[in-house]
Amino acid sequence: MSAKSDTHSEIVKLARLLHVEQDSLAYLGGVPAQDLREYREQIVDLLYDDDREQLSRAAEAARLLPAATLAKIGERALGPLICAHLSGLLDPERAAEIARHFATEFLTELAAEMDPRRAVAVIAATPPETVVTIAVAMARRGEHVAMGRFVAHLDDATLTEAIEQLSDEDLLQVAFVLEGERAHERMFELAGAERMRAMLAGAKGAHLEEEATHLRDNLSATQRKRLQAKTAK
Amino acid sequence: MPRPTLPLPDPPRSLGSDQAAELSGHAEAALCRQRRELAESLEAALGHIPWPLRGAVRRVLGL
Repeated sequence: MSAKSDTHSEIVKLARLLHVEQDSLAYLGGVPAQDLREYREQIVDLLYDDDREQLSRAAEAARLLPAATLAKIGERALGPLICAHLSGLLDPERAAEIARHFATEFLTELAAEMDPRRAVAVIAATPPETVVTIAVAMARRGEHVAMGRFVAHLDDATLTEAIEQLSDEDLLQVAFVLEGERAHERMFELAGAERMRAMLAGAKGAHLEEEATHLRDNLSATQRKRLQAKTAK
Repeated sequence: MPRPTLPLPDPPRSLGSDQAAELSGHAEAALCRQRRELAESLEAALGHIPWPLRGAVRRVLGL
């Protein structure tokens, strides 16, 4: 596995979290990926726990209002960032109920800001077709880092459907910032060797060679052999 | 508003002091931006709450 590519992947994730351009973090290029990962996790704690006390009170207040009213307030006044932080503090079923009243565009922005530590319960309570719709909309907005956080939380059927609907270029960019143990191997199995070969073959033309190498490096030895087997024919 | 709950994390040790300060500056800016957005959003949200409930919501929020 390439240490440089792992570090670059971490820089991309950190830049998204801090809302800065990747180029402004270029000086992190020599830092080991593991150090950057640990730093990023501390930043997640900082940003998502900082407003926890006040937002917990807001979540308590939310119990007084119907879901449709909350959705209206969320969309018109709170905005996606605060709603995303709030969603991690609400009962997941309640969060999903409110989310049903949001416009897809707003829900897409909200999903990109969700607390990665608490997103799993909300995603599990969201209808799979909505999850796929949001995934496609997130890709359109270039939110590959946020998508990479959630892949591990999707069930096989939902992830398979999302993979089918996303372009090769989007999948390569998500794979570059994918989180979760053996997440690349799982993506390979759900996408299938043929789709993977097509993705990797098209990477150069899309200027995504580093992403393709990163994906290939994170596959199992058996999966890499399956890719080569067909290539050799 | 009660702040802060957590200190800024230490940047990776392999960074020089200038780079560490720059990275911490980005983290602090992100935190400040988020706090500002929260304060503005909660105040704006109150205006959208049906008036019979506004007082109760204010009390729960501690505003």
